Amino acid sequence: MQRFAIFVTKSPYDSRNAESALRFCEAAITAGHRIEQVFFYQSGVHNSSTFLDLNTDEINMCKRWSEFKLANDVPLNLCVTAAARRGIVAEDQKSKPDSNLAAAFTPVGMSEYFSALNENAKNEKDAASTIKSIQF
Amino acid sequence: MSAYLLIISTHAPYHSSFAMDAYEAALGATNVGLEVRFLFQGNGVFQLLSAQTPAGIQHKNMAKKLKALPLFDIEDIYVCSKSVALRFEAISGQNHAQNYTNEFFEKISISDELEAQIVNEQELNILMANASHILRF
Amino acid sequence: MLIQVLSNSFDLVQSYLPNSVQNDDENKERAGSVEADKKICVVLLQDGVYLYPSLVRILEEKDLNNLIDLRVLDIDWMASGLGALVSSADKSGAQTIERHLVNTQQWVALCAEHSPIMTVQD
Repeated sequence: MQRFAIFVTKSPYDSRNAESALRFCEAAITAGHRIEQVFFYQSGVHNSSTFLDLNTDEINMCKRWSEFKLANDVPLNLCVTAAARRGIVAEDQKSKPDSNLAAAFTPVGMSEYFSALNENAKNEKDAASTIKSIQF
Repeated sequence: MSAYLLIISTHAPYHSSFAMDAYEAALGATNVGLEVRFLFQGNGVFQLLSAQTPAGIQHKNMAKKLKALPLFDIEDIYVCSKSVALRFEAISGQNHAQNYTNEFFEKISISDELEAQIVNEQELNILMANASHILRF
Repeated sequence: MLIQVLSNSFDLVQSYLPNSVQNDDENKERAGSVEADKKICVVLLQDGVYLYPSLVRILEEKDLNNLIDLRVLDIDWMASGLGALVSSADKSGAQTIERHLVNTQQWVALCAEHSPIMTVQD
């Protein structure tokens, strides 16, 4: 069993990175591995927007991630600063009139991703506990 | 061999968010105690030019920001010599890339304030292979 | 080490591949490790699959097959339509690709096996 942490950096639709990342996550779980978290950074934060409006025959990544979380209980974290800079806002940001952050996603600081990797470094002797980071 | 995160910064400083995104990721990682090594590669080497004057485009000076890396415990900073050589051959008119790489660091870089190791191809491969994690921006 | 290639920029990708079989012991000692000697696994996905023909040639020409284990994600390869082109250009080419193709499960297994994992994209 391998533990993975997934780092998504590209916008859905513009790029197919999130689709590859999700496919990886689903296959990894099927194979008995663990996805510790999926972290969205840079333009990857657009994956969390409830405003994504695709044709019915196209892939809506916000919906896909939300379904993935529901089925597998994998945290979907996004960098709150990267999100704010790109117009993705959560409800609890009171100064903002509206929220377009899908409920499945959690706005966090960057440290949330690196803490997981660091926990890794401390337990280095225990090979099974190491988390591998994969960027998309 | 200690575990480290290698961040590879491959974009010029101002006209995309990549340079800042790499920098902020590095700070985020070092803040939680993860060992970070920072590599400038490709167009990322342009972030090191000391005479950057971005006032006209209303951005903050990237070279100045980079000087703060050691203050955040990021002290292992590397520059890909091949990337520098490829980009400065045209300026120098020299074919001897290695010589010019040295000249670049003596004259126009911020190396006196930011201690960076110049790495060749093979050292680069080792730096990457020995990393625990790699993020490339 | 595993390199995930999502870009079809040849120069970009080539800059991360060993140039040739090198035996520079001095350099290795200097960096204090021989870890880099381990075989690098290169997985082509997304637009990376378009690099397959050039990479196969490079590996052959530079005799890098012992250093690089080249894999291509099957669904992205199928999507490209390159298969028909490769097989019509070179009968043995069609057979070569079979050796390199991996499905999603095998890609996951390779990632579980190798460390670190670097993604090369534009």
